[in-house]
Amino acid sequence: MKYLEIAKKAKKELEKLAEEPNPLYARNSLSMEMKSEAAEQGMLSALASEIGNLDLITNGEYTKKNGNVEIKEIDSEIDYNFLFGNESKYIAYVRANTSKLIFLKADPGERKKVRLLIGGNVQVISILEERANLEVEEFVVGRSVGIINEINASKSSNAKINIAYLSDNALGFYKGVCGEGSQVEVNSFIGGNFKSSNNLVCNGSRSMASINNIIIGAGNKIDITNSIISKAPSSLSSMKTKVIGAAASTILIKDYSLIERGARGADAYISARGISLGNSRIEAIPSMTTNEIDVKASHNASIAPLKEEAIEYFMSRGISEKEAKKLLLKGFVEDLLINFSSEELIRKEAEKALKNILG
Amino acid sequence: MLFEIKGLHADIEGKDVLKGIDLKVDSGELHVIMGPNGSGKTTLAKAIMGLSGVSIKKGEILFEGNNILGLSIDERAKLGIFLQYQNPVEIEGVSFLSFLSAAKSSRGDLNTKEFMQNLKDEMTELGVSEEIIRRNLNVGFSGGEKKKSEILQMNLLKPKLAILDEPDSGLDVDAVKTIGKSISNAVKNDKMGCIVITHYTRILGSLELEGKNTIHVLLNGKFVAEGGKDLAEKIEREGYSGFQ
Repeated sequence: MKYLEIAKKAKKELEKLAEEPNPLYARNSLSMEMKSEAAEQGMLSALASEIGNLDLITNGEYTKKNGNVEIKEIDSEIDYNFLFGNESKYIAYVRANTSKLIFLKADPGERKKVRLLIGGNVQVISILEERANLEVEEFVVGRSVGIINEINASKSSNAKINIAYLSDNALGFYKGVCGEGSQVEVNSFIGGNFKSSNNLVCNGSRSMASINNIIIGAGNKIDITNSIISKAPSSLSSMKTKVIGAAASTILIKDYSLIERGARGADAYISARGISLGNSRIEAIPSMTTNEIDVKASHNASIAPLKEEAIEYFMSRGISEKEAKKLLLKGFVEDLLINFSSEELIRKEAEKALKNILG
Repeated sequence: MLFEIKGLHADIEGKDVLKGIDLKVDSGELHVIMGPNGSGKTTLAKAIMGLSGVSIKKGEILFEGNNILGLSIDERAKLGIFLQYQNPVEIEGVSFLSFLSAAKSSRGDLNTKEFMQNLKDEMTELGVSEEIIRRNLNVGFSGGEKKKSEILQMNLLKPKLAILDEPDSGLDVDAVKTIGKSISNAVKNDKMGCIVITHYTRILGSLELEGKNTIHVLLNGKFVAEGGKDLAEKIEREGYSGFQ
């Protein structure tokens, strides 16, 4: 099916589709205001010059700076089965407003690295052939930007997708399929109003799917649903989220892991940890189902304020209260931060977000 | 006078713990506070540093002649007061080195080269492995590593007054000697005033000190005796029952 037809259908369906189609995660689902606005060119240019070699994607515009990216018009004939349907009105919204498709294909055994600066609604399709290695960095900026990622990892391939949502208001969705012995890791940094629903499937034996999220909310509404389905033997899944909520933020994290029959020896892990500052609201809902014997599934969730004892320990060495809090909050997200390909850039963005919170 | 406590009364959650403490410590002096569990030793250390949970009801704490009771914890630290924690808190994601740099930077511009050289020297002196400074602060540190890391911080920050809360507990004989030597050097060479809180007399044997060294016995929130090494020997022999 041509993508144009999918997009047209999305436009028609937009009003009648449910906000949150999955009943398990409909609970407390947050609504987002969707209003298509062009990205701020100044913001894009500033980040582009800071980051360097980037492919720039805005509403209807595309600047290619490296040879790794293939751009498709939405009415192109594409030999690809789209993983996403128009499942919710948010997904349909992104579909209906997408003007470009980005195709990233890593051939057998190829190593590829791509950096995208995204300022408009786009769909990024990453296809990894056997033994391929693909690393994608996506910096999402501007206002009301939507992005859909689809990842298809063949046998023994390795995909690492890093997404920094630096937008005021973003919608972000991804789906991925992991083939035998492949690894798919998606790292997201979220620093503004955001709604997302993501799903990875371990289809091949010994495949590995990881979802890592760093969320820093300062007066934001953030609603994320993640799920990983283990279908094959000895597959590994991991979902880790670290949340810092401040200034009346409402942050919902819903993680679901399903181990299906036939996935003997599968291991599923969910961790959601939050630091709540001031009058923020954080809700973490980890959930697991196992339909097979000889599997391991575990989860943990905790939400707490910063430890007074830790702040005082830092202060007893002459460090101011504000600096102590900053160091502790940075430390809290450090283990997930180091997963990002552009660790230093994400660190800077995290520092900016923390400065917003701490003043 | 470097440091003076006058008529200090303090409580924890409404319970009187310190019931009139007077203490004077000058530069280059070592004062040892001994007492049974629950006598108020750690509360006194917390009160000096200004930690939460301790409520000062009466009295004064003077540092270089000024009352510090209205100062925040970091302001007291910057004046030159250091508290060695009995059980330092474990911090995920902050390396020991980052923490040390932040602590040193809080006192002014950090000369990285000089700082790293001092750090290396102090680590050698205390027998601390290089690997420990890359690890998360206090996370997975052994009992000995925690004590040494606290003394390492003291040596790097060079306080005018150090309050050491059980620097010897849980340490083997060699580690007690190493730490004792380090404390002695700071008191002798840097003229650091020092208050050591301990249950045991064994650290006294490791402190190679001259000059004024006083042992104070704290019982039920009050000092009930003071003296020299002979007082420590009496406690070792008879316990605290004789002071009731």
